[in-house]
Amino acid sequence: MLEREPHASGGQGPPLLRTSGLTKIFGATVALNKVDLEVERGQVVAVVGENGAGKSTLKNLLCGLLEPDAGRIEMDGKPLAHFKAAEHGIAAVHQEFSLFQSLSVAENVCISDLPGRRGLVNWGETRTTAQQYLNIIGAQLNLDAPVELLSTGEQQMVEIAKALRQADRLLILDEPTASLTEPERDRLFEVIRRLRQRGLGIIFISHFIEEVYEVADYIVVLRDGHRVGGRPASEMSRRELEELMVGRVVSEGEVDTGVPTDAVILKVEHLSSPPKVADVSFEVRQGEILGLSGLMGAGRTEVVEAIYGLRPSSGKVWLAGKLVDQRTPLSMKQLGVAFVPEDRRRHGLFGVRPLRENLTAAAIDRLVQRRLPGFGFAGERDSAAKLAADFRIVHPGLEASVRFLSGGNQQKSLLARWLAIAPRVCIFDEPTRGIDIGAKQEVHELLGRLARQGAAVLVVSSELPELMQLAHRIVVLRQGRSVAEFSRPFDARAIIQYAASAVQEAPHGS
Amino acid sequence: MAANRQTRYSLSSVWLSVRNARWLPVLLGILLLGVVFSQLSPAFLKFRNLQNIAAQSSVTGIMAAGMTFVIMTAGIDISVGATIYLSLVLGNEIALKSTTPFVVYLIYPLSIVLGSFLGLINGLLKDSLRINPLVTTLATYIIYRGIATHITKAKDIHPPESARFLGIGSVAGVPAPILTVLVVVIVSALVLRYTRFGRYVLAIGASESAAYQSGLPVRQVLIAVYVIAGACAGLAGLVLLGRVGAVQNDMGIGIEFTVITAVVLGGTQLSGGRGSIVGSLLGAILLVMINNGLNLIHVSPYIYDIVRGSVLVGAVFIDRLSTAQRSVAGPSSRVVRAV
Repeated sequence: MLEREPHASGGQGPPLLRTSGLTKIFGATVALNKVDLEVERGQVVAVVGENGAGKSTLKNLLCGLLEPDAGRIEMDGKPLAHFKAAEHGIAAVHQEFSLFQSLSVAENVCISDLPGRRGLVNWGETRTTAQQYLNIIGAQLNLDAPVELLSTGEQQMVEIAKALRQADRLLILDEPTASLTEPERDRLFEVIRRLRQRGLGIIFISHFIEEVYEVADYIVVLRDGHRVGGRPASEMSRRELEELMVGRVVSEGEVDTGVPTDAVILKVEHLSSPPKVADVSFEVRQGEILGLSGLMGAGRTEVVEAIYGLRPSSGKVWLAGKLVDQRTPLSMKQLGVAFVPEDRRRHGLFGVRPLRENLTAAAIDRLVQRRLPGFGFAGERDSAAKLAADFRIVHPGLEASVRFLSGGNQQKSLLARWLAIAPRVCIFDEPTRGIDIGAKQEVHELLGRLARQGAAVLVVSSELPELMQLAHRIVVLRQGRSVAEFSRPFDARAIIQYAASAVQEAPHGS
Repeated sequence: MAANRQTRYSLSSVWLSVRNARWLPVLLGILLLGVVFSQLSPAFLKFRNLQNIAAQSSVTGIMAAGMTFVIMTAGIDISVGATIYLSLVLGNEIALKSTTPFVVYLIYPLSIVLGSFLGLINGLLKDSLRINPLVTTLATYIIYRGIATHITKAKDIHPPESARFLGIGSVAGVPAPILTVLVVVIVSALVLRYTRFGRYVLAIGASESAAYQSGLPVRQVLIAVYVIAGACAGLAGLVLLGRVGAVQNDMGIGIEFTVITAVVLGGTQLSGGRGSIVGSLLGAILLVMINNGLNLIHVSPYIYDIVRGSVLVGAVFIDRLSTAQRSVAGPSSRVVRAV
């Protein structure tokens, strides 16, 4: 079974995998737009692009987790529809591992179909099988060790061995290096080359430019759901790749962000929060929008979480010249700091509660009726209605659960909740992730308005064009450190270089 | 123009709040059962019997009000039955052994204070040990009952008549148990709906993480709801004591499950964030009605529990059907499930 299709060369006959016109639409967002992709046996195809380019959607379609809205997927020229990936020899190693921490290596590798009869597990065979797959990738692990004792790199090996057991034809690796150390990464590339030799087709999803060149035979670039380029790795220059990834700066409607004053409102000094944040310093002035840029895993979210007191940290945070010692969301709110988290459904919204309560959640203290002590909220309904109108939130009624709103309107209601307390500092983590173009533009305008009204705005975004459009300055993070700072006009290529590569010295301005 | 829009309550929003009223099904259940029982037994609709049902629902109803706060935050408190017993036993040690009538009256505030204190222990334990509330209150359930039995040596306590007011007394012709449960339910419902604290409870139940990140005092609120549940248990204990006339060793055994059943029947979600106090009271009434009606039509008492349990399964099933219809099945939810 493992020895199927030994030839490692494409060319004759249909390719191992071919997609044509693959399209996937989520609500108002076209996540993947007519994407063509081919993978030969024994070929490593890198799919690169920024966050939100459609890489994960592509992966989920190829694994049969999503149904395409248009287009087709073919294996060996035969179309696949409503399929189980494992039955066609396809498997993916997802970015988030799906291992059972308390089970052994052997159990994890074989978990999808434990060897044995009549419900009884044959442990000998389980161990032999697991060993067999670990041998393929050249990983030496203690079969009986519980997975929780392994390093991240070792866990990845288990994850790959497990995937190989289900799939011996096409392996999809989604950002496999994101959490690996240097030596672990090299080991992984070794494994990928080994699997390529065995005739596997490999799709390598990444946005790290350097490593793409280390393993890929062919590079396909996605942007905004489109395939914007695809060429053999040897024929695509690094510069070309960077330009394809970022694209030209989208300029539908400029955003008026005003002019910052000189007064420093938020000052962060030597902020560290191991293991993700190490010695980050920056300042945000009144009326200024500061962008935090960096690759996935660079520590962007962790930095803002540490500032807002959501994770333990060392270092100093100053608000309008005053040192803030005890930082908790409660104390930060009282100091006029707003925080809109990345995962709005889990950490932002009160899904089952009505829109009205969601809108007034931050300002509710101010609405408490003073006449009858503590009872009633004076004008809550009115202020909620006013916020909904101001922020142009489309809703079926103020009493409708907020979870029934669209992503864009949910995000606008979160922003409205915070802006109702007229914050001095606003921290936004990926404020436009997963919302449609129209809502995105409105959110951009809101951020601009906030800055013009004198708030200090800190924006984390994985979309560089967005930051370049909004921010007055951009701080680049890499591996938890602030490595460079740019002011307008921004040089996208330089920013990407600092985010993705190992250039050591930091420039100031450009 | 804006003012106009703000103050007008449109028909659709009224309809929405009716549709969102999660106590509606249990009310319909009570009416339906009422029709059925009144057809089968002429005694059912007699004023006397209805008053009986109301009085019998009082103990569960009072406790259910407190429990609703806890469940609304996605918590649970199974120590409330033991809290009743221990707060009465401790109260007896201090107040009921006295021969001075004035000191005997102290049992009323004392039982509530002791109940709150036991609830506070629950809340603090859960907060500091960070173990889930089921385990925490299971442990304190055992401990509380253990302490109480240790004190009484499993013997009954017979209090003076003046300690029984909440069970057998009446004010202006209204039986005290009914009055008590009404006051508790009305105050609780107002607190939940019209105070900052109530709003925090609902927000935490909807998403604890979002509540924390929005700068709400999550820890304090999560402790406070157990204090409320304990206080309600202490008060319910006084009613029970009055009705039974003695503090018995098996007092309150199993009542926590009746209370939780009432809350769930009343439409409060175990996952928190949605429900109502009034619903919980209706749930308590429905449970008593089942017993009462079956008793009147001479059904064997041994099947009461089977019926009550089945009603619960049915209620939860119906709720699930109606929520499933309303939920928007987006593609993202599919991905989450698949991955």
